[in-house]
Amino acid sequence: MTQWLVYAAFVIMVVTLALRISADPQNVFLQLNDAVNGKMDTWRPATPYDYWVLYALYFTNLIVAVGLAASLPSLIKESKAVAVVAIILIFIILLAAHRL
Amino acid sequence: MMLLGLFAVSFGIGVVAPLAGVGGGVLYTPLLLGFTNINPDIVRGAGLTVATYSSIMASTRLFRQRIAPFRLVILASAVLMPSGVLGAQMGIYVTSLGKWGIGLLRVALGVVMFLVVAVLLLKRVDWPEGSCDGRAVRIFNLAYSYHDQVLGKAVNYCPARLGFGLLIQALVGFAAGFFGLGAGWALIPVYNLVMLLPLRVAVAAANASIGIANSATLWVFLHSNKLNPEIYIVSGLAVILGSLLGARLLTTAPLRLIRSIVIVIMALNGVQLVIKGGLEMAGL
Repeated sequence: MTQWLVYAAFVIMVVTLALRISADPQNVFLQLNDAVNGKMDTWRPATPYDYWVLYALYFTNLIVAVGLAASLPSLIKESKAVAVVAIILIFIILLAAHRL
Repeated sequence: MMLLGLFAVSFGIGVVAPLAGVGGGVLYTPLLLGFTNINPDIVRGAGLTVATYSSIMASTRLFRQRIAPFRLVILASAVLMPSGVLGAQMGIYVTSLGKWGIGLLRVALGVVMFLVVAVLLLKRVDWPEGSCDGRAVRIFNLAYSYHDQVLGKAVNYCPARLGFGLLIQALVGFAAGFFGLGAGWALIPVYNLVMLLPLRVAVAAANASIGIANSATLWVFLHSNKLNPEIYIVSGLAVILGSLLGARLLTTAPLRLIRSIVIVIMALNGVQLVIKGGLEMAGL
């Protein structure tokens, strides 16, 4: 399941990025130009297309947490101590995702 | 055009990295920090993305083939993850100090590149002898077995020196987050030479550990808005596509020559980073 989620995440990232570029190519390439020339140190989403790209990145970064959660039943059978550690890892990822 | 250039550079790194036996991140971040003017935080975030996405891709296969020791990887991630997050935040703090901080980051990365080169030259052991009678091995059920295709038989193994190994991994995790590097170059020798895992297992464990541990670290860059979506996504996917091609070339390419060239490039990149960072720190 995790592997399919990874493929889905990559497709979603490419699609949302293509949408962002096609919606306002001039602005995107201006931003890229600024980034390459060291004039951009932060990027904040401004349009709905920007948010889609950001949500695609969020989705991709949560795949590991989903994978760990899916593996919990078998982990509990194999080692309860490691299952507890896995739960802590999921918690750390969600905490980091929520906002540090 | 710029996007194509970025894709081409990242794709090239992706092709060369597996042929040289290193991860994409360890080539990507130093090269971009050394030879471009892109903000170091954006480069570090993108470098970490490159390392993480390619590791996640590889680790799903490695877990399915039962080469990567899942329970051990989870234990290691419990150390790597918080130290990586701490390292990433520390890195952002250092670069926020201005030109001096950015220079310091470049100099430190240059020095780390020499360390990477030294570690890559270390001799590794294919099948080290480990012992399975440790208390931690019993508690965490860390006795494993996998079928080795070279030997044509099942290999039983357990991690040794778990506490010491995890302690070193904490430092590696911090460095990975601080510099935005993949950590495979350091994790493979730790798993192989310190924790005495068979080399094939050590490579798989390092790959899987990076994928799991960095997924928390990446949030630091996302929440700090230290990203450019095009650089992030195009680099990440181009390195993955490149590494797929690189993996296919593994049987035909002159590996020893490529590895030597890459090691020389990394050493020169280290020198260049130290000089560039030193000049920045001096305000020149």
